[in-house]
Amino acid sequence: MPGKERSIVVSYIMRVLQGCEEASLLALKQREEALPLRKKLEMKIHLLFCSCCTNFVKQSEKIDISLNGFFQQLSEEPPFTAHGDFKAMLKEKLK
Amino acid sequence: MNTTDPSKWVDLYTDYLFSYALFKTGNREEAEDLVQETFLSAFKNREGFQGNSTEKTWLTSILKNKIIDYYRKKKSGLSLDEYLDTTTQDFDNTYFNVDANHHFNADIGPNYISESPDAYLLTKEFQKFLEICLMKLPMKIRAVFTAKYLDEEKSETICKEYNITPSNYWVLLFRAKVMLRECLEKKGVLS
Repeated sequence: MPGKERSIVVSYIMRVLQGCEEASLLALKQREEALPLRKKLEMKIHLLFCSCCTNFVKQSEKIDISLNGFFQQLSEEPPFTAHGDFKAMLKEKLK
Repeated sequence: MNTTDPSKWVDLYTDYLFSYALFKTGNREEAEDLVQETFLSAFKNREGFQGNSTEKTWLTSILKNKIIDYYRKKKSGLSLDEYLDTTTQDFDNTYFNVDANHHFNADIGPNYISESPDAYLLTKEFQKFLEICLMKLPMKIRAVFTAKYLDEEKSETICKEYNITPSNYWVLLFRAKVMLRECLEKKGVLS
């Protein structure tokens, strides 16, 4: 399809289907829950034509990888340290 | 059989419980208060520790319940559902073009997250940015977000704990993701 016609089709599709906000939310949701067929189809079609949303979904998956790694280490390597004074006060109270 | 030894708790668990509470509340003083309440409540009920779980798991579950109470008390009139309703316009205007069928405002460059190898996402460098960005999440959003990612709870449990509808649960998670990715793309604005 020539470029101009394709862009008209794409802008039509973007107008009648879900916006990015709904489509990208549904894309995250469908990884854990089944969507109604119509919603799922609309979302898939939106993603086919929308680089912003496909990028968002990819970034979201990458962020999940990082988040899971980060929180799994929390127990072994807590990123924050409580103040010494606070710990001393706790020790007193637990006697 | 009770095998718990309170004299060792502070050295063994404070930094972990404090970090946990800080991610949940985003506030240092409130995290300290919650950790203190947890230790005192555990100390008072130490006879009840059965040794079925580890001391750490036991203390974490006490802290977790204190945090749920903390959020319930702190509602200050606005439930999470109401919070979403009153902030929708701001959120939409910030991240989406409301005049163009809610298209993303801009494709955020330089888009290094999508192109980073997974190994980089687990490095201390990237996770430092992640930590900065997590701490910037609004208080109302972080409770549900950390329940999913830190506690790995199921959506039904989270909806019940925080009294939200399943559909708003997804809106909260989605907003958190949008905010996190924008912050991460700016590398936490290196603040």
